[in-house]
Amino acid sequence: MNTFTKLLFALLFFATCPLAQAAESDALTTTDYGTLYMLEKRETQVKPWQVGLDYGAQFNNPYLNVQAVTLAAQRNLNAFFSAGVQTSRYFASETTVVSAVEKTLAAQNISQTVQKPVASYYATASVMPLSGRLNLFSYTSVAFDFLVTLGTGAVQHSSGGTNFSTLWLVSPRAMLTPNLGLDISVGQQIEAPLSTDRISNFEGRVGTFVRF
Amino acid sequence: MRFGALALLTTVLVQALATQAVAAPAYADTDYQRLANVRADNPGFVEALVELQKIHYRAQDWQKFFAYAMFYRKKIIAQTGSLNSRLISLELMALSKHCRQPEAQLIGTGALAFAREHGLDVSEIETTLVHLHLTGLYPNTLKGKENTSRPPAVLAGELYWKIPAEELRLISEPSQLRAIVQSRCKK
Repeated sequence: MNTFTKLLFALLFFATCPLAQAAESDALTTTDYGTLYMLEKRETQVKPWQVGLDYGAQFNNPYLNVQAVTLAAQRNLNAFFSAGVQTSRYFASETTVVSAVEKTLAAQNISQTVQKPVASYYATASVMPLSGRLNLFSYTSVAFDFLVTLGTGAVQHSSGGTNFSTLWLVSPRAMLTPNLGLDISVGQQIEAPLSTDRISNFEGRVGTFVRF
Repeated sequence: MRFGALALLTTVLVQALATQAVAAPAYADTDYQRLANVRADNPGFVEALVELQKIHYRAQDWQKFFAYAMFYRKKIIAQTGSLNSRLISLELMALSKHCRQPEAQLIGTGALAFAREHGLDVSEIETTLVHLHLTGLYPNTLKGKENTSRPPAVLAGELYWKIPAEELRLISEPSQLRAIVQSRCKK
């Protein structure tokens, strides 16, 4: 090996030394092990209790204009399921159709009584399959969830009689603060569901609820 | 009678589920929360991270420990060009506890080279590498607990989304990161 070759090897050695060191220090930031995950948590914190107050109205009752105030209390069993009770006080008035029929029948000395709902009492079970955040006109984002409720109970009428009744509701809800939220519900109340005289009324509700 | 039994059963079920729902978090004390709330862009982040990692190490909370360790190595070191020997040493020892000497050796020698390049103190990392060498001479048996289970998403309200390691550089806050590292020790 002549002097020139030795010099070439020496130069090559000194030139590659920093590269080798750089490759070694790269191992610090490039070495991987295990599997990485990002934890996704529900935006709406689970709290044990929830109390709500709603105003509602029935859509498709041809005989009565029915409005209702509903008070509901729920116990969250875990992040997704809850059970509770709700009671509604109804304010019903006859529609123009019924008033006209009543007048016509009264002229023929026939009296007619329309049973008006007074109150209802339900035991409910709810599931919350969706939750996340909702962008509000790019102004702010609010915690949002979606609740599906099934209920069973009774509706009390002005005559004093009661009907076995079932209820379903779907409720998109938005949290204004961690504890206070707004909800809009759409659903159906089916009185005497097993009877051929069943009464089914669609209803809408809007209200507020507090978690604690 | 039958109704009473049904009501009792329902009450027991509701109580059991409710107890599960309000289970206390792993770290309830405010000092931990204060450390965990230090954001990555805060100048005191590395100091807070050293204390956090000590807590994770002591509690054998390996999912958080390795997640923070990888975030530090892959993001903060690359970003700041500085290195905290204590954090690297803790990671090397944790890897050694999981019988992952090859990875520990790679990271350790990488850290040594990096520290020398930047004129930093290497004594702590050198000591840890000697410790690693010595522990490698003994049979690898599992010490402490392994932490590789994921939470049941439906009941806990938590979900683990898998992310590639390269995406660590895009993440700004490590608090929601978790790493599952299988132990290679004999059980």
